[in-house]
Amino acid sequence: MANRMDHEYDYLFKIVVIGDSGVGKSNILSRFTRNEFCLESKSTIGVEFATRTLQVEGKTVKAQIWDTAGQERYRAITSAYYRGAVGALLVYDITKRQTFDNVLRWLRELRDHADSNIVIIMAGNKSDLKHLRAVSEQDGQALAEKEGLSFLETSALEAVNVDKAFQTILTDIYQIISKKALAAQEAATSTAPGQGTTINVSDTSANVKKGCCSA
Amino acid sequence: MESKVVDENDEGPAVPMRVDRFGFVRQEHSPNEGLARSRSAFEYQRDERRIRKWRKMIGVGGIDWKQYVRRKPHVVKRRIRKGIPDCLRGLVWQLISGSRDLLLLNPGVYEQLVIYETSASELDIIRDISRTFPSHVFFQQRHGPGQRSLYNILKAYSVFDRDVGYVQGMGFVAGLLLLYMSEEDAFWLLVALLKGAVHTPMEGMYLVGLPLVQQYLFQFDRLVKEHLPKLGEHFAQEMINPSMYASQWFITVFSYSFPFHLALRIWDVFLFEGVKVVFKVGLALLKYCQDDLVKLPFEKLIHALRNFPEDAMNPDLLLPMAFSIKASPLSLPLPPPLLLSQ
Repeated sequence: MANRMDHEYDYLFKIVVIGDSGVGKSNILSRFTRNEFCLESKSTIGVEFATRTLQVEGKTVKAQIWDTAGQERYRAITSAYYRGAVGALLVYDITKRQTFDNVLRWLRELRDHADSNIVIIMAGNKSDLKHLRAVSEQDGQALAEKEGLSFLETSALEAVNVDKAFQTILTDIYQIISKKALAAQEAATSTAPGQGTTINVSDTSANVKKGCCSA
Repeated sequence: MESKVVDENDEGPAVPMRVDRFGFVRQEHSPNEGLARSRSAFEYQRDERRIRKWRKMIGVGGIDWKQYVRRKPHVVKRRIRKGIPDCLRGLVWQLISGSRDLLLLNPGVYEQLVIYETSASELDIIRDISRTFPSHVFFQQRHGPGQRSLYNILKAYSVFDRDVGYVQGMGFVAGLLLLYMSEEDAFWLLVALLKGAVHTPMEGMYLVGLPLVQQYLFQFDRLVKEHLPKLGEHFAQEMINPSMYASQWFITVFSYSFPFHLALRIWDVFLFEGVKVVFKVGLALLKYCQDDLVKLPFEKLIHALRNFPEDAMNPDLLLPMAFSIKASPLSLPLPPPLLLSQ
């Protein structure tokens, strides 16, 4: 991926990536923002951050993404990052039933700490591990419909549906915002970290090419 | 794409890997620090002299240590700040942390915990084993001795203290210790740290709510504002807070993502002087990079705070700078209870 020059953007959306530990959140993020996958990745301690700018319905949208540690005890730190987020990517692992069963707990967590109209997409990750599948795509789809979420199965390893998942959530957010123009204006600006200040972004922080496994 | 492709069934590499002197597989663009390079005659003699001094100070098997520390605490402190010789590090760490005493007081306890007890955290621990120092040869082999020892220690601790159990981050602490001592010795050092054999107990960093992490981050924020007011103001403007970059500094005492040769030097001092050195090293890093950091907007700041430049990672430069900072987090106010209960 060559250096990406982001001179400006029309919208800035803050997204959180959540879900049980080990479902592949960090690799989904690195696949989306740097097109990298790291088999030898470390468990995330606290939070990580990355951005990517893309086109959504003709508008330039910058996604500011917070990747969070999945272990329950870390919610003491990570739940603060739900505030101001307009979107959440809720990830489970299709080879681990427990991570799917815990989706409801994550939704409750979002209800408690996030904005009430946060847009949520659920991603069943590791779809490449077909022989180990423990959650059917139908089960995922059914839960998503019941809870009113968008849904996709993804593979960060094979780069399947990762871009699409983010594209979907960003489009959903954009549509909600452009529908409710006035209320939306508020929502969009309140997601900017430097509220009231202009953030001049001449290039992304992710353009330094670097191994993902640095000790 | 720089990711390595590894065969799932591979029981370890067939060709010898290029590793640095600590056993980490070298990255393509890895800097030269930490590499086994030939030392000059001068360096060699200096190191030999230091090791002789240290051996004298410790005595056979550590027999003279306590007396030496009582008689000449300042000499000990100064020598530790210069770095403990690598060949003696494991032993000295056990002496200064108080773990050696715990080991002697509790014969057979570790074995009991490992063999006979079961833990509710076993699956959580297993899930993280291959994600702890994945680029170190000792921990790379699936189910190899490194991974087994790491699992045993973490499981034993989760039984030993069921309130703490297992928390992500503990693996990096245990892993670092395991590179310098036996499994049982490393376990008791972990106990000494979390239970506070010599210094403030660390267990509050891992208990439900991570209360001590929250306290330290709150205090660190105050210290940044006090010692680096210009940077503190810039952070406030850009809405940067320490939880975005410093959680792992505290939770793993710099062992998660810092160059290993630097982490070791910090650990030498941390074990002898306590957690205040984590604050001081953190402040020194920010101070060293302050002129660059104050110019950066939010996103670049976050990136810079996770990717410090190579020259800032030189322990012989960073540590003296850290020691010169007169910061006492203990004298700072605690965060309001509301923050802790979040």
